[in-house]
Amino acid sequence: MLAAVTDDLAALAAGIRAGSVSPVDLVARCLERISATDATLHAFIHVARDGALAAARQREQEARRSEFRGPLHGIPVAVKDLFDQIGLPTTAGAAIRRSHRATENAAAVQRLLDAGAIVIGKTNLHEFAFGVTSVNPHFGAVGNPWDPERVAGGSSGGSGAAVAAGLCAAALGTDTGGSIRIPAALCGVVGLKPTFGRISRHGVVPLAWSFDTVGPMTRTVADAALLFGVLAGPDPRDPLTGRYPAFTGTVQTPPSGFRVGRLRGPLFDDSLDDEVGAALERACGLLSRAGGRIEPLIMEAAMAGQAAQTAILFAEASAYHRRAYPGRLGEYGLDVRELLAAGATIPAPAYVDAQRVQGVVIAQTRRLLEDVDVLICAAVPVQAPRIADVDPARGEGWRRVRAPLSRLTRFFNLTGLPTVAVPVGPTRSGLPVGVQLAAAPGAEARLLGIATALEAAAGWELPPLM
Amino acid sequence: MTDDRRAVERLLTDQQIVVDDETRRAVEEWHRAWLREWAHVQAFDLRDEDLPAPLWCWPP
Repeated sequence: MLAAVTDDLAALAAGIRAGSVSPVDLVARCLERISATDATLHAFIHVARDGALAAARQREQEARRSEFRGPLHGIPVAVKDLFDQIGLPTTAGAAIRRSHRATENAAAVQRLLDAGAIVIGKTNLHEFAFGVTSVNPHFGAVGNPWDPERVAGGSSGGSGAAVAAGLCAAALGTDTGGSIRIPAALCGVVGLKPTFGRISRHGVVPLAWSFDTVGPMTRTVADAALLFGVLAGPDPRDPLTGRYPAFTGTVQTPPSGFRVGRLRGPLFDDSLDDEVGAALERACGLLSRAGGRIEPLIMEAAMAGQAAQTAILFAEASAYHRRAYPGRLGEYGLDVRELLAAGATIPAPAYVDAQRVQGVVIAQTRRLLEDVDVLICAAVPVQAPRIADVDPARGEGWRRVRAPLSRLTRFFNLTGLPTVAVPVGPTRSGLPVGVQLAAAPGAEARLLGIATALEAAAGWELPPLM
Repeated sequence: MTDDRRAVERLLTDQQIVVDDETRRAVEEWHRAWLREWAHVQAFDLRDEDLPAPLWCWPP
Protein backbone atom coordinates (compact mmCIF):
# COMPACT_ATOMS: atom_id res chain seq x y z
CA MET A 1 0.00 0.00 0.00
CA LEU A 2 1.33 3.42 -0.86
CA ALA A 3 2.06 5.39 2.26
CA ALA A 4 0.84 8.94 2.18
CA VAL A 5 3.55 11.56 2.17
CA THR A 6 1.19 13.36 4.45
CA ASP A 7 2.16 11.35 7.51
CA ASP A 8 4.53 13.02 9.92
CA LEU A 9 8.23 12.30 9.73
CA ALA A 10 8.32 10.13 12.83
CA ALA A 11 5.50 7.93 11.51
CA LEU A 12 7.18 7.59 8.13
CA ALA A 13 10.53 6.79 9.71
CA ALA A 14 8.94 4.21 11.99
CA GLY A 15 7.16 2.64 9.05
CA ILE A 16 10.38 2.41 7.06
CA ARG A 17 12.11 0.77 10.02
CA ALA A 18 9.26 -1.68 10.44
CA GLY A 19 9.25 -2.48 6.74
CA SER A 20 5.65 -1.34 6.28
CA VAL A 21 6.59 1.82 4.36
CA SER A 22 8.65 1.69 1.20
CA PRO A 23 11.02 4.56 0.37
CA VAL A 24 10.54 3.73 -3.31
CA ASP A 25 6.76 4.04 -2.90
CA LEU A 26 7.16 7.33 -1.03
CA VAL A 27 9.36 8.84 -3.70
CA ALA A 28 7.07 7.52 -6.45
CA ARG A 29 4.13 9.13 -4.68
CA CYS A 30 5.95 12.46 -4.50
CA LEU A 31 6.91 12.31 -8.16
CA GLU A 32 3.34 11.41 -9.11
CA ARG A 33 1.96 14.36 -7.14
CA ILE A 34 4.57 16.69 -8.61
CA SER A 35 3.63 15.58 -12.13
CA ALA A 36 -0.03 16.15 -11.35
CA THR A 37 0.27 19.59 -9.74
CA ASP A 38 3.48 21.38 -10.55
CA ALA A 39 2.42 22.75 -13.92
CA THR A 40 0.04 24.85 -11.81
CA LEU A 41 2.04 25.37 -8.64
CA HIS A 42 5.58 25.84 -10.08
CA ALA A 43 6.91 24.71 -6.71
CA PHE A 44 9.98 23.07 -8.25
CA ILE A 45 12.79 24.36 -10.44
CA HIS A 46 14.47 20.97 -10.69
CA VAL A 47 12.97 17.55 -9.96
CA ALA A 48 15.63 14.91 -9.32
CA ARG A 49 13.50 12.07 -10.67
CA ASP A 50 16.18 9.52 -11.56
CA GLY A 51 18.47 10.40 -8.67
CA ALA A 52 15.68 10.26 -6.10
CA LEU A 53 14.40 6.88 -7.34
CA ALA A 54 17.93 5.46 -7.36
CA ALA A 55 18.50 6.74 -3.83
CA ALA A 56 15.16 5.33 -2.74
CA ARG A 57 16.04 1.87 -4.07
CA GLN A 58 19.34 2.03 -2.21
CA ARG A 59 17.67 3.17 1.04
CA GLU A 60 15.14 0.36 0.70
CA GLN A 61 17.83 -2.26 0.31
CA GLU A 62 19.66 -0.80 3.29
CA ALA A 63 16.46 -0.91 5.34
CA ARG A 64 15.95 -4.59 4.49
CA ARG A 65 19.42 -5.18 5.96
CA SER A 66 18.46 -3.07 9.00
CA GLU A 67 21.08 -0.53 8.02
CA PHE A 68 19.59 2.87 8.79
CA ARG A 69 21.61 6.01 8.08
CA GLY A 70 19.68 8.22 10.47
CA PRO A 71 16.29 9.56 11.55
CA LEU A 72 15.33 10.56 8.01
CA HIS A 73 16.24 7.29 6.33
CA GLY A 74 14.29 6.96 3.08
CA ILE A 75 12.24 10.12 3.54
CA PRO A 76 11.77 12.44 0.53
CA VAL A 77 12.56 16.08 1.23
CA ALA A 78 12.81 19.18 -0.95
CA VAL A 79 15.49 21.86 -0.83
CA LYS A 80 15.13 25.54 -1.70
CA ASP A 81 17.21 26.24 -4.79
CA LEU A 82 19.51 28.47 -2.81
CA PHE A 83 21.40 25.48 -1.39
CA ASP A 84 24.19 23.76 -3.29
CA GLN A 85 23.75 20.10 -4.17
CA ILE A 86 26.55 18.34 -6.06
CA GLY A 87 26.11 18.17 -9.82
CA LEU A 88 22.97 20.30 -9.87
CA PRO A 89 22.60 23.97 -10.67
CA THR A 90 21.92 26.29 -7.75
CA THR A 91 19.91 28.81 -9.70
CA ALA A 92 18.84 30.93 -6.71
CA GLY A 93 15.74 31.46 -8.86
CA ALA A 94 17.80 33.63 -11.19
CA ALA A 95 18.33 33.35 -14.94
CA ILE A 96 21.85 34.61 -14.38
CA ARG A 97 22.72 31.38 -12.56
CA ARG A 98 21.12 28.80 -14.88
CA SER A 99 24.53 27.43 -15.87
CA HIS A 100 25.87 27.20 -12.32
CA ARG A 101 26.89 23.73 -11.10
CA ALA A 102 27.53 22.98 -7.44
CA THR A 103 30.75 21.13 -6.68
CA GLU A 104 29.89 20.20 -3.13
CA ASN A 105 26.78 19.88 -1.01
CA ALA A 106 25.72 22.71 1.26
CA ALA A 107 26.30 21.77 4.88
CA ALA A 108 22.56 21.56 5.58
CA VAL A 109 21.97 19.36 2.52
CA GLN A 110 24.81 17.06 3.57
CA ARG A 111 23.26 16.73 7.03
CA LEU A 112 19.95 15.71 5.47
CA LEU A 113 21.68 13.14 3.28
CA ASP A 114 23.75 11.83 6.20
CA ALA A 115 20.48 11.35 8.09
CA GLY A 116 19.23 9.21 5.22
CA ALA A 117 16.91 11.69 3.51
CA ILE A 118 16.29 11.64 -0.23
CA VAL A 119 16.31 15.03 -1.98
CA ILE A 120 13.37 14.95 -4.37
CA GLY A 121 14.21 18.28 -5.99
CA LYS A 122 15.13 21.98 -5.72
CA THR A 123 12.25 24.29 -5.00
CA ASN A 124 11.33 27.55 -6.65
CA LEU A 125 11.80 30.82 -4.81
CA HIS A 126 11.73 34.57 -5.15
CA GLU A 127 14.70 35.53 -7.30
CA PHE A 128 17.86 35.52 -5.16
CA ALA A 129 15.56 35.24 -2.12
CA PHE A 130 15.03 39.02 -2.31
CA GLY A 131 11.27 39.16 -2.16
CA VAL A 132 8.19 37.89 -0.37
CA THR A 133 5.87 36.57 -3.09
CA SER A 134 7.90 33.95 -5.05
CA VAL A 135 6.47 35.43 -8.24
CA ASN A 136 9.53 34.48 -10.27
CA PRO A 137 9.93 35.91 -13.80
CA HIS A 138 12.34 33.16 -14.87
CA PHE A 139 10.85 29.99 -13.36
CA GLY A 140 7.18 30.83 -12.88
CA ALA A 141 5.11 32.19 -10.05
CA VAL A 142 4.70 29.73 -7.18
CA GLY A 143 0.99 29.17 -6.61
CA ASN A 144 -0.56 28.77 -3.21
CA PRO A 145 -1.93 25.20 -2.97
CA TRP A 146 -5.03 26.57 -1.20
CA ASP A 147 -5.74 28.90 -4.14
CA PRO A 148 -3.19 28.70 -6.97
CA GLU A 149 -4.16 32.15 -8.18
CA ARG A 150 -2.74 33.54 -4.95
CA VAL A 151 0.89 33.77 -3.93
CA ALA A 152 2.55 31.14 -1.78
CA GLY A 153 4.60 33.86 -0.12
CA GLY A 154 8.36 34.10 -0.18
CA SER A 155 11.05 33.85 -0.59
CA SER A 156 10.83 30.10 0.24
CA GLY A 157 7.51 29.84 -1.58
CA GLY A 158 8.31 26.64 -3.46
CA SER A 159 9.27 24.86 -0.25
CA GLY A 160 6.11 26.02 1.51
CA ALA A 161 3.88 25.02 -1.37
CA ALA A 162 5.61 21.66 -1.78
CA VAL A 163 5.06 20.72 1.85
CA ALA A 164 1.47 21.93 1.88
CA ALA A 165 0.61 20.05 -1.32
CA GLY A 166 2.19 16.77 -0.23
CA LEU A 167 4.92 16.94 -2.88
CA CYS A 168 7.53 16.07 -0.24
CA ALA A 169 7.56 15.16 3.43
CA ALA A 170 9.45 18.29 4.51
CA ALA A 171 11.56 21.03 2.98
CA LEU A 172 14.47 23.37 3.62
CA GLY A 173 14.11 27.12 3.43
CA THR A 174 16.02 30.23 4.37
CA ASP A 175 14.83 33.32 6.22
CA THR A 176 16.36 36.81 6.07
CA GLY A 177 13.28 38.98 6.55
CA GLY A 178 10.53 36.35 6.87
CA SER A 179 11.24 34.02 3.97
CA ILE A 180 10.42 30.82 5.88
CA ARG A 181 7.64 32.20 8.07
CA ILE A 182 5.71 34.14 5.41
CA PRO A 183 5.21 31.19 3.06
CA ALA A 184 4.62 28.92 6.05
CA ALA A 185 1.81 31.17 7.25
CA LEU A 186 0.29 31.62 3.79
CA CYS A 187 0.54 27.90 2.91
CA GLY A 188 -0.63 26.55 6.26
CA VAL A 189 2.55 24.75 7.27
CA VAL A 190 5.04 25.11 10.12
CA GLY A 191 8.11 27.22 9.42
CA LEU A 192 10.99 27.50 11.87
CA LYS A 193 13.58 30.25 11.69
CA PRO A 194 16.06 29.03 14.31
CA THR A 195 18.37 31.17 16.41
CA PHE A 196 20.67 33.10 14.06
CA GLY A 197 23.75 30.99 13.49
CA ARG A 198 22.51 27.62 14.76
CA ILE A 199 22.43 25.95 11.34
CA SER A 200 25.40 26.24 8.99
CA ARG A 201 24.98 28.56 6.02
CA HIS A 202 27.92 27.03 4.16
CA GLY A 203 26.90 26.41 0.56
CA VAL A 204 23.90 28.77 0.63
CA VAL A 205 23.75 31.74 -1.72
CA PRO A 206 23.76 34.84 0.53
CA LEU A 207 21.19 37.59 0.66
CA ALA A 208 22.22 39.51 3.80
CA TRP A 209 24.95 38.07 5.99
CA SER A 210 23.60 39.76 9.09
CA PHE A 211 20.28 37.91 8.90
CA ASP A 212 20.39 34.83 6.61
CA THR A 213 19.13 31.81 8.55
CA VAL A 214 18.51 28.23 7.43
CA GLY A 215 15.43 26.42 8.70
CA PRO A 216 12.88 23.65 8.12
CA MET A 217 9.38 23.89 6.69
CA THR A 218 7.20 21.00 7.76
CA ARG A 219 3.67 19.72 8.27
CA THR A 220 3.92 19.68 12.08
CA VAL A 221 5.90 21.23 14.91
CA ALA A 222 7.25 17.78 15.82
CA ASP A 223 8.60 17.44 12.29
CA ALA A 224 10.26 20.85 12.59
CA ALA A 225 11.91 19.75 15.82
CA LEU A 226 13.13 16.52 14.26
CA LEU A 227 14.54 18.30 11.22
CA PHE A 228 16.11 21.02 13.36
CA GLY A 229 17.83 18.31 15.38
CA VAL A 230 19.34 16.92 12.17
CA LEU A 231 20.40 20.32 10.84
CA ALA A 232 21.72 22.20 13.87
CA GLY A 233 25.24 21.94 15.19
CA PRO A 234 28.79 23.22 14.79
CA ASP A 235 30.35 23.46 11.34
CA PRO A 236 33.91 24.78 11.10
CA ARG A 237 33.05 26.28 7.71
CA ASP A 238 30.49 28.58 9.36
CA PRO A 239 32.06 29.95 12.56
CA LEU A 240 28.73 31.32 13.76
CA THR A 241 27.56 27.77 14.40
CA GLY A 242 30.10 27.17 17.16
CA ARG A 243 28.19 29.24 19.68
CA TYR A 244 25.42 26.72 20.34
CA PRO A 245 25.36 22.99 21.01
CA ALA A 246 23.64 20.45 18.80
CA PHE A 247 19.90 20.09 19.42
CA THR A 248 18.73 16.77 20.79
CA GLY A 249 15.33 17.00 19.15
CA THR A 250 13.55 16.92 22.48
CA VAL A 251 11.08 19.71 23.07
CA GLN A 252 10.20 20.89 26.55
CA THR A 253 6.70 20.40 27.92
CA PRO A 254 5.52 23.91 28.75
CA PRO A 255 5.68 24.61 32.47
CA SER A 256 2.47 25.33 34.30
CA GLY A 257 1.65 28.99 33.98
CA PHE A 258 4.03 29.56 31.08
CA ARG A 259 4.21 33.22 30.21
CA VAL A 260 3.37 34.58 26.76
CA GLY A 261 4.23 38.15 25.88
CA ARG A 262 1.86 39.45 23.24
CA LEU A 263 3.67 42.16 21.28
CA ARG A 264 1.64 45.34 21.04
CA GLY A 265 2.18 48.74 19.48
CA PRO A 266 1.91 50.26 16.00
CA LEU A 267 4.27 47.79 14.36
CA PHE A 268 2.34 44.76 15.58
CA ASP A 269 -1.23 46.06 15.78
CA ASP A 270 -1.75 48.50 12.92
CA SER A 271 -3.44 47.46 9.69
CA LEU A 272 -4.06 43.85 10.67
CA ASP A 273 -6.59 42.14 8.43
CA ASP A 274 -9.70 41.42 10.53
CA GLU A 275 -9.38 37.66 10.11
CA VAL A 276 -5.67 37.71 10.90
CA GLY A 277 -6.43 39.67 14.05
CA ALA A 278 -9.17 37.21 14.97
CA ALA A 279 -6.79 34.28 14.44
CA LEU A 280 -4.24 35.91 16.75
CA GLU A 281 -6.91 36.45 19.41
CA ARG A 282 -7.92 32.81 19.03
CA ALA A 283 -4.32 31.66 19.40
CA CYS A 284 -3.92 33.70 22.57
CA GLY A 285 -7.13 32.20 23.91
CA LEU A 286 -5.98 28.69 23.10
CA LEU A 287 -2.64 29.24 24.83
CA SER A 288 -4.46 30.65 27.84
CA ARG A 289 -6.68 27.57 28.05
CA ALA A 290 -3.56 25.43 27.71
CA GLY A 291 -2.24 26.96 30.91
CA GLY A 292 -0.43 30.02 29.63
CA ARG A 293 -0.54 33.56 30.99
CA ILE A 294 -0.86 36.16 28.25
CA GLU A 295 0.38 39.68 28.91
CA PRO A 296 0.86 42.63 26.60
CA LEU A 297 4.41 43.77 25.84
CA ILE A 298 5.53 46.99 24.23
CA MET A 299 8.80 47.07 22.28
CA GLU A 300 9.86 50.70 22.61
CA ALA A 301 12.39 50.51 19.79
CA ALA A 302 10.26 48.48 17.37
CA MET A 303 9.85 51.18 14.70
CA ALA A 304 13.48 52.22 14.81
CA GLY A 305 14.41 48.55 14.66
CA GLN A 306 12.29 48.08 11.56
CA ALA A 307 14.10 50.92 9.80
CA ALA A 308 17.44 49.52 10.93
CA GLN A 309 16.62 46.10 9.52
CA THR A 310 15.76 47.67 6.18
CA ALA A 311 19.05 49.55 6.02
CA ILE A 312 21.20 46.56 6.92
CA LEU A 313 19.37 44.10 4.66
CA PHE A 314 19.33 46.35 1.62
CA ALA A 315 22.90 47.56 2.00
CA GLU A 316 24.28 44.03 2.40
CA ALA A 317 22.24 42.59 -0.46
CA SER A 318 23.35 45.38 -2.75
CA ALA A 319 26.98 44.96 -1.68
CA TYR A 320 26.91 41.22 -2.41
CA HIS A 321 25.43 41.54 -5.88
CA ARG A 322 27.62 44.46 -6.86
CA ARG A 323 30.66 42.20 -6.45
CA ALA A 324 29.14 38.88 -7.49
CA TYR A 325 27.53 40.08 -10.74
CA PRO A 326 28.96 43.52 -11.57
CA GLY A 327 27.16 45.40 -14.29
CA ARG A 328 24.49 42.72 -14.80
CA LEU A 329 21.46 44.23 -13.06
CA GLY A 330 19.62 44.30 -16.36
CA GLU A 331 19.46 40.49 -16.28
CA TYR A 332 17.53 40.44 -13.01
CA GLY A 333 13.78 40.57 -12.66
CA LEU A 334 12.36 44.07 -12.49
CA ASP A 335 11.60 44.07 -8.75
CA VAL A 336 14.91 42.59 -7.54
CA ARG A 337 16.84 44.89 -9.90
CA GLU A 338 15.12 47.88 -8.38
CA LEU A 339 15.66 46.78 -4.79
CA LEU A 340 19.35 46.04 -5.32
CA ALA A 341 19.89 49.46 -6.89
CA ALA A 342 17.96 51.00 -4.00
CA GLY A 343 20.27 49.34 -1.49
CA ALA A 344 23.19 51.17 -3.05
CA THR A 345 21.67 54.48 -1.95
CA ILE A 346 22.01 53.73 1.75
CA PRO A 347 24.93 55.79 3.09
CA ALA A 348 27.65 54.16 5.18
CA PRO A 349 26.87 56.18 8.36
CA ALA A 350 23.28 54.96 8.13
CA TYR A 351 24.49 51.36 8.06
CA VAL A 352 26.54 52.02 11.20
CA ASP A 353 23.60 53.70 12.95
CA ALA A 354 21.42 50.77 11.98
CA GLN A 355 23.81 48.36 13.66
CA ARG A 356 23.83 50.54 16.78
CA VAL A 357 20.02 50.46 16.86
CA GLN A 358 20.25 46.70 16.32
CA GLY A 359 22.36 46.41 19.47
CA VAL A 360 19.85 48.41 21.50
CA VAL A 361 16.88 46.38 20.22
CA ILE A 362 18.64 43.10 20.90
CA ALA A 363 19.35 44.17 24.47
CA GLN A 364 15.76 45.38 25.03
CA THR A 365 14.35 42.15 23.64
CA ARG A 366 16.54 40.02 25.84
CA ARG A 367 15.39 41.93 28.90
CA LEU A 368 11.75 41.32 27.89
CA LEU A 369 12.45 37.63 27.46
CA GLU A 370 13.69 37.39 31.04
CA ASP A 371 10.07 37.90 32.11
CA VAL A 372 8.22 35.74 29.57
CA ASP A 373 8.78 32.33 28.01
CA VAL A 374 7.71 33.26 24.48
CA LEU A 375 6.55 36.23 22.45
CA ILE A 376 3.50 36.03 20.18
CA CYS A 377 2.24 38.11 17.29
CA ALA A 378 0.61 37.54 13.92
CA ALA A 379 2.85 36.16 11.18
CA VAL A 380 1.55 38.01 8.12
CA PRO A 381 -0.83 40.97 8.59
CA VAL A 382 -2.68 40.45 5.31
CA GLN A 383 -4.18 37.53 3.43
CA ALA A 384 -2.30 36.08 0.47
CA PRO A 385 -2.61 38.52 -2.46
CA ARG A 386 -3.48 37.41 -5.98
CA ILE A 387 -0.51 36.70 -8.24
CA ALA A 388 -1.97 38.88 -10.99
CA ASP A 389 -2.04 41.84 -8.59
CA VAL A 390 1.60 41.56 -7.51
CA ASP A 391 3.37 40.35 -10.63
CA PRO A 392 5.95 43.03 -11.51
CA ALA A 393 5.45 42.21 -15.18
CA ARG A 394 1.80 43.24 -14.88
CA GLY A 395 1.90 46.38 -12.76
CA GLU A 396 3.01 48.22 -9.66
CA GLY A 397 1.12 46.15 -7.11
CA TRP A 398 4.21 44.29 -5.93
CA ARG A 399 5.54 47.51 -4.40
CA ARG A 400 2.39 47.87 -2.28
CA VAL A 401 2.53 44.37 -0.77
CA ARG A 402 6.23 43.96 -0.13
CA ALA A 403 6.31 45.93 3.10
CA PRO A 404 3.02 44.58 4.52
CA LEU A 405 3.86 40.94 3.80
CA SER A 406 7.15 41.18 5.71
CA ARG A 407 6.15 43.76 8.31
CA LEU A 408 5.78 41.36 11.25
CA THR A 409 8.65 38.99 10.52
CA ARG A 410 11.66 41.26 10.11
CA PHE A 411 11.88 42.22 13.78
CA PHE A 412 12.87 38.63 14.58
CA ASN A 413 15.63 38.70 11.97
CA LEU A 414 17.02 41.90 13.49
CA THR A 415 17.15 40.24 16.91
CA GLY A 416 18.19 36.73 15.83
CA LEU A 417 15.51 35.09 17.97
CA PRO A 418 14.29 31.57 17.21
CA THR A 419 10.82 32.09 15.74
CA VAL A 420 8.26 29.62 14.47
CA ALA A 421 5.17 30.23 12.34
CA VAL A 422 2.32 27.95 13.37
CA PRO A 423 -0.94 27.65 11.39
CA VAL A 424 -3.95 28.21 13.62
CA GLY A 425 -6.91 28.06 11.33
CA PRO A 426 -8.52 29.15 8.07
CA THR A 427 -10.09 32.38 7.00
CA ARG A 428 -13.73 32.39 5.91
CA SER A 429 -12.53 31.83 2.36
CA GLY A 430 -10.41 28.87 3.46
CA LEU A 431 -6.95 30.42 3.36
CA PRO A 432 -4.55 29.48 6.17
CA VAL A 433 -3.58 31.98 8.86
CA GLY A 434 -0.50 31.61 11.03
CA VAL A 435 0.93 33.23 14.14
CA GLN A 436 4.52 33.61 15.24
CA LEU A 437 6.03 32.47 18.51
CA ALA A 438 9.57 33.54 19.44
CA ALA A 439 11.86 32.73 22.36
CA ALA A 440 15.27 33.68 23.70
CA PRO A 441 18.35 32.78 21.65
CA GLY A 442 19.10 29.07 21.96
CA ALA A 443 15.70 28.29 23.51
CA GLU A 444 14.30 26.21 20.63
CA ALA A 445 13.30 23.41 23.03
CA ARG A 446 11.06 25.77 25.01
CA LEU A 447 9.79 27.50 21.88
CA LEU A 448 8.82 24.28 20.13
CA GLY A 449 7.22 22.92 23.30
CA ILE A 450 4.84 25.86 23.49
CA ALA A 451 4.31 25.74 19.74
CA THR A 452 3.32 22.07 20.12
CA ALA A 453 0.75 23.04 22.72
CA LEU A 454 -0.69 25.72 20.41
CA GLU A 455 -0.74 23.35 17.47
CA ALA A 456 -2.60 20.70 19.45
CA ALA A 457 -5.13 23.21 20.74
CA ALA A 458 -5.67 24.80 17.32
CA GLY A 459 -6.46 21.46 15.70
CA TRP A 460 -5.20 22.60 12.28
CA GLU A 461 -4.46 19.79 9.89
CA LEU A 462 -3.40 19.81 6.28
CA PRO A 463 -5.82 17.77 4.20
CA PRO A 464 -4.27 14.57 2.81
CA LEU A 465 -4.47 15.76 -0.76
CA MET A 466 -4.54 19.32 -2.06
CA MET B 1 16.98 68.26 -10.49
CA THR B 2 16.10 68.09 -6.82
CA ASP B 3 18.67 67.47 -4.09
CA ASP B 4 17.23 63.99 -3.51
CA ARG B 5 17.52 63.08 -7.17
CA ARG B 6 21.09 64.40 -7.31
CA ALA B 7 21.98 62.39 -4.22
CA VAL B 8 20.56 59.18 -5.65
CA GLU B 9 22.14 59.82 -9.04
CA ARG B 10 25.52 60.38 -7.39
CA LEU B 11 25.25 57.30 -5.20
CA LEU B 12 24.40 55.08 -8.15
CA THR B 13 27.12 56.60 -10.33
CA ASP B 14 29.78 56.36 -7.60
CA GLN B 15 29.14 52.63 -7.39
CA GLN B 16 28.99 52.13 -11.16
CA ILE B 17 25.40 51.00 -10.98
CA VAL B 18 23.78 51.51 -14.37
CA VAL B 19 20.02 51.29 -14.52
CA ASP B 20 17.35 52.37 -16.96
CA ASP B 21 15.33 55.53 -16.40
CA GLU B 22 12.29 53.67 -15.06
CA THR B 23 14.39 51.85 -12.48
CA ARG B 24 16.16 55.08 -11.54
CA ARG B 25 12.82 56.79 -10.92
CA ALA B 26 11.67 53.83 -8.84
CA VAL B 27 14.90 53.93 -6.82
CA GLU B 28 14.40 57.66 -6.19
CA GLU B 29 10.89 56.91 -4.91
CA TRP B 30 12.22 54.07 -2.77
CA HIS B 31 14.89 56.37 -1.35
CA ARG B 32 12.31 59.01 -0.44
CA ALA B 33 10.18 56.38 1.29
CA TRP B 34 13.26 55.03 3.06
CA LEU B 35 14.14 58.52 4.35
CA ARG B 36 10.66 58.75 5.86
CA GLU B 37 11.14 55.39 7.59
CA TRP B 38 14.68 56.39 8.61
CA ALA B 39 13.24 59.28 10.59
CA HIS B 40 12.53 56.71 13.35
CA VAL B 41 16.27 56.08 13.64
CA GLN B 42 17.17 59.76 13.42
CA ALA B 43 14.79 60.42 16.30
CA PHE B 44 16.11 57.46 18.28
CA ASP B 45 18.18 58.27 21.33
CA LEU B 46 21.51 56.58 20.57
CA ARG B 47 24.00 57.05 23.40
CA ASP B 48 27.76 56.98 23.00
CA GLU B 49 27.88 53.55 24.62
CA ASP B 50 25.42 52.04 22.09
CA LEU B 51 27.97 50.26 19.94
CA PRO B 52 27.32 48.70 16.56
CA ALA B 53 26.23 45.23 17.67
CA PRO B 54 25.39 43.00 14.75
CA LEU B 55 24.44 39.42 15.54
CA TRP B 56 27.62 37.98 14.11
CA CYS B 57 29.76 39.94 16.58
CA TRP B 58 28.08 38.61 19.67
CA PRO B 59 29.80 36.45 22.22
CA PRO B 60 28.05 33.14 22.82
